[in-house]
Amino acid sequence: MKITLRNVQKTFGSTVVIEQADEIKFESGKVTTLLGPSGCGKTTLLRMISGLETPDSGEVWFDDECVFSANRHINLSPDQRGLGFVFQDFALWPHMNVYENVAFGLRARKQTTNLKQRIANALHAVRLEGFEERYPHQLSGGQQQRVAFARAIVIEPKCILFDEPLSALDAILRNEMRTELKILVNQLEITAVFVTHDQVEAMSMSDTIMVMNKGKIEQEDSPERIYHNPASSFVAHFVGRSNWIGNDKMFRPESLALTHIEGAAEYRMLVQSVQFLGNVYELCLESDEKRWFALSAQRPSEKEICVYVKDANILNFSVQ
Amino acid sequence: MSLLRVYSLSKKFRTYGAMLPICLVLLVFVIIPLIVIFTRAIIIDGSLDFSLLIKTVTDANNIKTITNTLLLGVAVVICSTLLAMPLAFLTVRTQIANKKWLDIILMIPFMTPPYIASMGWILFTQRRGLFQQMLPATGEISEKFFSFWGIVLIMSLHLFPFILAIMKNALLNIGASLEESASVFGGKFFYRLRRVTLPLIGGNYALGALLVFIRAISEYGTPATLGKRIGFSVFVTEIHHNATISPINFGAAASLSSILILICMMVWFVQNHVTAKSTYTLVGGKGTRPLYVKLKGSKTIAAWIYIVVLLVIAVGIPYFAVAITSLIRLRGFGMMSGNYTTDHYINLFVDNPRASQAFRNSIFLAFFAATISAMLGTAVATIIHHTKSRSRKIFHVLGLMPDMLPNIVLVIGIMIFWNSIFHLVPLYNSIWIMVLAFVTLFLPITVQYVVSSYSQIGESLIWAGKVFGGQPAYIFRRITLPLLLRGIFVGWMMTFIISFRELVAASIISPPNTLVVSTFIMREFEQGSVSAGMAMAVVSVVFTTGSLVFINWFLLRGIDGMKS
Repeated sequence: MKITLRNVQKTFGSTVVIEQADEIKFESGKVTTLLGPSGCGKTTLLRMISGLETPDSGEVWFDDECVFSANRHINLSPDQRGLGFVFQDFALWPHMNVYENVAFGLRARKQTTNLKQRIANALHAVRLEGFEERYPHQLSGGQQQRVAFARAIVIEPKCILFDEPLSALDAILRNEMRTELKILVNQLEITAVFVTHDQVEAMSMSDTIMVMNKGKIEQEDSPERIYHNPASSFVAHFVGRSNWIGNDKMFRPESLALTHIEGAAEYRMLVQSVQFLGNVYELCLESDEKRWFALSAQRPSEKEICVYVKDANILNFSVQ
Repeated sequence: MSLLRVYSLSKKFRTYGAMLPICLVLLVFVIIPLIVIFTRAIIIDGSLDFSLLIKTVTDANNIKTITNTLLLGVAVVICSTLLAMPLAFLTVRTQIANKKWLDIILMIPFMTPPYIASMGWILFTQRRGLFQQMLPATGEISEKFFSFWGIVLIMSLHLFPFILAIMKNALLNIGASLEESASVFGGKFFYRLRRVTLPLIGGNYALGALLVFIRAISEYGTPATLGKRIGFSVFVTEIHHNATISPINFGAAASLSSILILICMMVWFVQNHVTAKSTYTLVGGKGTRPLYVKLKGSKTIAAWIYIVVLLVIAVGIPYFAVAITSLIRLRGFGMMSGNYTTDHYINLFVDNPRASQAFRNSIFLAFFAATISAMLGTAVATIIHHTKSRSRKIFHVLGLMPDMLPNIVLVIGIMIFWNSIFHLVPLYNSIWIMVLAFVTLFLPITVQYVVSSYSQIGESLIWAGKVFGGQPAYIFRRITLPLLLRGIFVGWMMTFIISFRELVAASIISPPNTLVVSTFIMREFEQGSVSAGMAMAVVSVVFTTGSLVFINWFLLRGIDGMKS
């Protein structure tokens, strides 16, 4: 299902949460991630798609069905939109067991034919067979996460929305669930909208990333292009390590060579610190106001080293 | 008209359609009785006339009553603070905190109706009472208890758990890190207490002290029993006197009630100011690990002696006196082997029709009062939860108002109001006026429990319900209501227990010849068989405690089994 937001704007009091944009499109069958710092409006955008939040103006379309239009006074309530939603805190109902939690979306809509089989399938998909009778507080964080996902897929939605679904898990579990969610979403070939402030999560899970800042989408692109061709200095700052020349020119640490390259600019810099990251050393270099990062296969022997960067690798954000 | 407008109008209509009847009920139950009191006090023969009010305030007798009341309030606050402070420290900051059973035992004095405790003390200390029978050599020393300080002690023993609970919560909220850092930076114990701990719990203490003060000046049971013996009259007994003993003087009762309301409002105002100035946000993530002081040797012994002595005085003596008296055959012979019998208990239900009638009346009243106020309170709490800003505040104040005012004041208002419209709604002089009074008085219990249950339901649980296809009614039935159930139930149970042995409302507005448990006990104590009265006291305490335990074990377990 393709989701389109046209001219949508949202303010809370006097603060603009979502700045008006002509069109924001989420492609069918793809995983799109809204990435940005907290307070950038990404969750608000997600909640407007689900109907939990009402835009001030504009329209929201699911394929060619209009689910919200300020001018035409259309506003389908969340229960009429038929979406799956995975909440940040999972939002499992504590007084219902796993079976009832998963069954809720089907029962509420009175789609109870083959109820048992459908729930069994959903629990099978998330590898939680045999947990039907458990209550949420008897499950680990990862298991709760999987129940939340099963609850979202059992209603066979055309799209699933994820609101920072991994942020409530600890680091190890987060890595595990990231892979697992990615596999599940791919298997279902479903449209998914992901909200996160974690760039690693965004990079690894998405077909498309929308980087948001202050209610505006700064760049919409593939993860690779977001990293290698950031469209603004905000994106360059927010995604990955960046080395800056003045305020406008920037390149990625991988572009910084420690050996001489023909035609590259040369900088002499002090090695401030060296961090061993397992497969590589990350050097922190300083000179004047510059603080750069470089990657190296071995620990540098000198206090002061020469580094080289090609012009072609430098991006310029100055206003032309 | 556009569709959206129609939609929002119908939504508005739905909201107000639900709010209006509840609003009306609160108006009739709470506001009108209060207005009636004030108008009765200052409108005489249809014109505004402050002379009665002024006469009441300047009357020498009443000035004595006012000073008595205020003195009693202050003394009880000080005394219960002194009792509670060490206990709060011991049960939060030392190894004694591990003794969870202590928390339950310390609730007993609070759950004991003060008139029963007071009777226990009277029986214990009076001339030829239990104390003098056990220790004849002490002479008349125990009779010293019949004094102002005796009243203060009984009331403080009843009310200190209030301050204790508030102080304990406040102390628990001060994480170990705050005190540990104070000690790392060189603060000694008393310096830390003075500079860190006490300032941080000041706001909470003000609230606790206020509640105790208001409860002390509103309390009827102790002044009506022990106070009566020594001629110590307070507002509540004066109001009660004017409203029940001929010549009945509603005007004077209303004037005194108005003054009492004004005093309470003033105290509320001061407390609000203090609490607002000295309340801090102390929620610091994982920083709330409690700090333990390991008491050693003699200090442990001293702590336990304090606790045991307190428990003996607060629980042991009154219950001992009540229980022994209920078992004595002939009081003239006193505690003597062969003079014990269980006849009083058997008679209560076998050949004392008034006793079993009183017991049945109390169950009837408690059941209906609890059930109606559970429903009404849930409705009020739901409105408080779902409305915004101003109307929310109004409902909150209305819903909790009866708890901020002395019970007797509202009862007088209800009495005057329903008496004056008797020809329209003949509720007055029927048992239903008592149900109505209890519902009004104890509505705040359910409101508080349900409001706090609401605040524990994460918003996302409701959002999830919406997203996964639930209509509002379906979400309420499947998600909200089950999660509120515990709060509603605890509210019901508390209302049931408190209504079951309520005294002041029952003694003012019960219809002629309708006794309830509390009025039965009072009557037997004053002018009948004291032993029969005490047997009833024991039965009612056992019955309420028993139902509490029963409900806790069987019903709340059932509810809790479904959730974390």
